[in-house]
Amino acid sequence: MSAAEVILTIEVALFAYFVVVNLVYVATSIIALFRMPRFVRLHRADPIHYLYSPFEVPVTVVVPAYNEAESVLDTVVSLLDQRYSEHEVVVVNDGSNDATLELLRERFALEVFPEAYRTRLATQPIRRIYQSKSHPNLRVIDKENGGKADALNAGINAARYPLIFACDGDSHYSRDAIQCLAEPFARDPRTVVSGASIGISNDCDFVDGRLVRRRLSARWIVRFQVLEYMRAFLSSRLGWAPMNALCIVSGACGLYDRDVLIEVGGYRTDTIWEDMEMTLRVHHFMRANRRRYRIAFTPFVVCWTRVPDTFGQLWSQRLSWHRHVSECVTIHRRLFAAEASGTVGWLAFPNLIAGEWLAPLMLTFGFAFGFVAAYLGFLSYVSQFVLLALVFALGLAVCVAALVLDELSFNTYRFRDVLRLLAASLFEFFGFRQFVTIANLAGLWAWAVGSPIRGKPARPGWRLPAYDPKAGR
Amino acid sequence: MVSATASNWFLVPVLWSAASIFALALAMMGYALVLRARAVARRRRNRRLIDAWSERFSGTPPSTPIPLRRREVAIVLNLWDEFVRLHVGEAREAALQKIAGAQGFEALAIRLAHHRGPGSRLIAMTALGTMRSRAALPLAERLIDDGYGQVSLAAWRAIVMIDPRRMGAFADAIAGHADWQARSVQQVLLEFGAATISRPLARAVERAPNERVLRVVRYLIFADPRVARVALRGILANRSDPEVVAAGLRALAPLATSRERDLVRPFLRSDVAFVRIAAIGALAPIAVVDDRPALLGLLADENAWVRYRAAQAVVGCFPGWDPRMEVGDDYGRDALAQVLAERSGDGRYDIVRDAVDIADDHPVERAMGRMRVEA
Repeated sequence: MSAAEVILTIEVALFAYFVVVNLVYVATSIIALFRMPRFVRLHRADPIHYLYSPFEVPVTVVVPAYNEAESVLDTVVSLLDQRYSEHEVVVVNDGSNDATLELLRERFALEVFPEAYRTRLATQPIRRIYQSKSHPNLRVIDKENGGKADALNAGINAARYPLIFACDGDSHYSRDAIQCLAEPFARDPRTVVSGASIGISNDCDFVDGRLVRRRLSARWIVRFQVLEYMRAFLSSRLGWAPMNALCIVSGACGLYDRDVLIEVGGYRTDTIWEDMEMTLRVHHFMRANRRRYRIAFTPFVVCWTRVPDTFGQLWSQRLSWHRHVSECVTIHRRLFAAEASGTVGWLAFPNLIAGEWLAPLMLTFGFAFGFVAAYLGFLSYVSQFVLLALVFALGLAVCVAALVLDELSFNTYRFRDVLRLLAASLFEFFGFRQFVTIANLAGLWAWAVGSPIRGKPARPGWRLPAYDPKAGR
Repeated sequence: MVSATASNWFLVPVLWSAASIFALALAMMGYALVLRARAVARRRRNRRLIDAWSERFSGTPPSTPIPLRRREVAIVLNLWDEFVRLHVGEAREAALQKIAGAQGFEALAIRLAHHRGPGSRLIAMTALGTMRSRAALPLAERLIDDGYGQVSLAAWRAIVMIDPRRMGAFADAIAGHADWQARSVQQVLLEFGAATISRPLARAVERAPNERVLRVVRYLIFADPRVARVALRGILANRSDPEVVAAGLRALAPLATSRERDLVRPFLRSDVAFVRIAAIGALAPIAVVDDRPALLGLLADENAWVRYRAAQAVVGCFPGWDPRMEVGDDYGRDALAQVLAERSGDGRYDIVRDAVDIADDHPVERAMGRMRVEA
């Protein structure tokens, strides 16, 4: 094979890869564009009004808190003040070194509570269990540090209700958060997990844990992430959900059937994050055991969280996210095109591998290939420009489709902010995406060599054993 | 040498695709802006419309009919329905019905009910039900098979509002509809009132097969207690499916009288944990001293929820009696300690001291020790 033929083969393969990956985004955006208007119309037009009902499934809200002294009170207040007939809040203080526990004890009049705590999922030792004297539906578990997954497991052990709302200690929740998340459980008894959209709270105003004014941050790095979140939630997840092929329900905002969580073995403590792994595990377990189930998604923004506003923070976040994707791909490798794995195993999981996990490698390879080809004199600048233009146009179309979806439904931002986001959608391709790609590449490297981050022991991620869905672990 | 992809057969279509997609992206940008501009205009227009009609609905009705544009019909009908619900049984309700007649809301709602959007059909059917429009009966009959659960429920509501004798068919429909939200059905039943719903619901409970009866039995709490009790006694006596029995016991809990005591007691010994839990709940409000041994026995049950509910029943039924000394089982004492602590919300009960009285070590530490054993 001549050099020209090799170059041709690689070029066509790279081109095909980028087109296919972007076409998947376009396809999910089209599905979302069809689903969103129906969804919004149905929810806005329902005149049979909400009523506190004894028929709502009670929910236990689990809030893992590690050194969250700054935000935990606001979060707990917003969760106690939910418009829902029956829910309890279980805050798990995961061995914080700051004043998290003292603040909670003071604000909610906690006292030690002699509770018969049942260990269905193994966790780090529990020090004390507290009950609030001011809020009967608030308990606080004080335990040794074991990470967010371990704290969630402790909360599941202590939960009294059949649904578990897994939260973050540093996010804010709207009053309808549980209501929105629990609705799919009422509509479809096969539902075992439900997720919702997350909004970005940088520069927004909150009073007593409630969002009072939405504002788009003046920082471009935050605006780019707003676009990313819109794409992820409105275009991608809303598109995958009807196929029952959602690969991730956010760790900050997911409602789970407690029995299913226990059956699959609870949250894993040896991965860097826990949300995508748990979602894939539920899919893997249910599909392998041939059970009927549904993982639902509601596009309502019910949770507001801060995103990194410096490149240093963004680097760490994306590095750890991509490492988690790598761990999930390793652990659930048997889900790939497995028998009876349905849309997850044949569409969503392969897309996760090709479109997300391998994307930084492919992008880097593409750039490196371009430079080498140019050096050797094989590169046509015209053709490269045209290919880049196509990828840019596809990316822009997906980005703008997410903005259109928001305009069709929630009108999250003011008019002038929409203009700013449209501008950001054009500039996102010049610098920000490349930065994220390099951070993802670093995450891939960290997974491959097993460098210790976020307090996890050094061990190459590829050594993680494959999940055995029949055994439930 | 030139790259292979530089050849025209490849490059030209790619270039055209890129240009088309870019143009599409720009068009979508424009569409997003148009959508926003329309949303702002719509919001302002609707605000003005709602203000104007709220004034008419709450004050003096207009002397002449005010023409409504097509896009305004759903908003005004929805607002009218809200006002009627706020003033049920008051003089204002009659005035609102008069306004509806004068403005021709019935014809407008019937036209709206033919729209494709489920929201429009829902608003129209709800308003027609509130108007008790006989002209809408054929339409409602058609919409009870609508693909959207809320629309079919609104159609049934309209039918029963127009002709309360159809309540029996509605009660049977409740058993057949898994797509109706419980809280919506609950609100509709509350709106009809116990006198209308009691006997049809009881008959539907009798008729429904096991797999469907659960959907109806939970609404018996809104029926006349005497009728509901008879239906529930029938369920407990004649059905053996644990799910159905548990649902019957749960529905009986707020209605039970001493007559049901003997009927409930055998279920405390059921093999199924959730039936035992439901039986404790049903027996708790009517328990007598004779029930004490059975409830104390359940404090040693293998299921944690049964122990917890038994502890709640023991503490709630026999105030002034400290059961802890009679309980030999550690788990049972834990459950009792927990329930006693929960009931001492105002701090009168020193949970640490009392728990230490039960056993010499701290209860949390003791629970921790158990956790290790269980794990």
